Amino acid sequence: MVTALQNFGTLSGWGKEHHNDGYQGFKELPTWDLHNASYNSPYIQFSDKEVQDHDFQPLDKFAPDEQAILDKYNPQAKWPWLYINGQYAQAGSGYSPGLLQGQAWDDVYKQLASGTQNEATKAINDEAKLITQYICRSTGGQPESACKQ
Amino acid sequence: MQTVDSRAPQAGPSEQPVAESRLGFPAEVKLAFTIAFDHRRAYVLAVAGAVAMFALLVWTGGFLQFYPQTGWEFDASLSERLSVGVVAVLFGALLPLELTALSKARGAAGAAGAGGVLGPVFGILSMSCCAPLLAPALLSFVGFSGTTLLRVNVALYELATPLTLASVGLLLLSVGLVSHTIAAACMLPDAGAKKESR
Repeated sequence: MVTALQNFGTLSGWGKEHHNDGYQGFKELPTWDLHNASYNSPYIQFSDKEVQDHDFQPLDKFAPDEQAILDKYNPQAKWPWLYINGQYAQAGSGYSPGLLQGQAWDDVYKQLASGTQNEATKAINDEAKLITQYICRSTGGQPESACKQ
Repeated sequence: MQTVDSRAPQAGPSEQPVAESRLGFPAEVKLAFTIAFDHRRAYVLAVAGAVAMFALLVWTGGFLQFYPQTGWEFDASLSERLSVGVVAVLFGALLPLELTALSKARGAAGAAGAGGVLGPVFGILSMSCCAPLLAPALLSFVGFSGTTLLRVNVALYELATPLTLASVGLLLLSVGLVSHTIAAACMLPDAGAKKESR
């Protein structure tokens, strides 16, 4: 999702995060911390809500309109959940977290930046392309640099 | 003058206490399992029940995931796998016991005491109240949704260990109570016949 968002604007203030070792049977999983991130884009707005931290303590609360959307389109409360402009919704991860387990955050980031081809980067890039396509349908194909790929 | 010899029997052999009070708890459970698993169909029922409960727990827990790139995966931690396995096996074992208790205790109502009623009750309680993997699905079924369910899930995740232990404990209690029912019910005809012979 972060890779897709970067096609439409600038994400800043993010941090490095990880899921705890043993969560869902996986080793430690690198992930993004978007809790304090901000996103600037002439095309879209982005809102991120973290339900709990990695110690399973409650974190963010939902605005009433967000609650209404969740209650309507995600009644079984599957997580992670992605919702794009009332047009698309995705429950669960688009690829197996097992592809990233045990890897250091910096290693995965460097592999993505350098264009290294392996199972993990392929899965992340495929998912980013899919989310980009969904967003492009919401922006009317703007910007072309992202939507003509 | 009458004397009472304490060594003399107070009652005839026909008035010995019934077996339910002589048997200890482990013996009652062993006897109940022996009776309940006397037929091959009991094993079939137990395996079917365990498999069904396993499938239900896996489904409600969201452990089975499909990913386009890597296919089906069973994503669960070690404690979650153990919980699912233990609850499924205990539930499978409980089913033939419950059926046997129902059929054996039918003609001996009251003999089973509280255990006859409480056994199934605790079995159901363990599944509906304290199995953290089932709770979200049950709450969803009764109308909870979205953000409410999310908050419940977060709370349940924190309480997963004690709730799982409570669930297993209630299942074990249920096995014990139902075993007591079966053991008591199986002794009664014998005891009754002896009372009639006095």
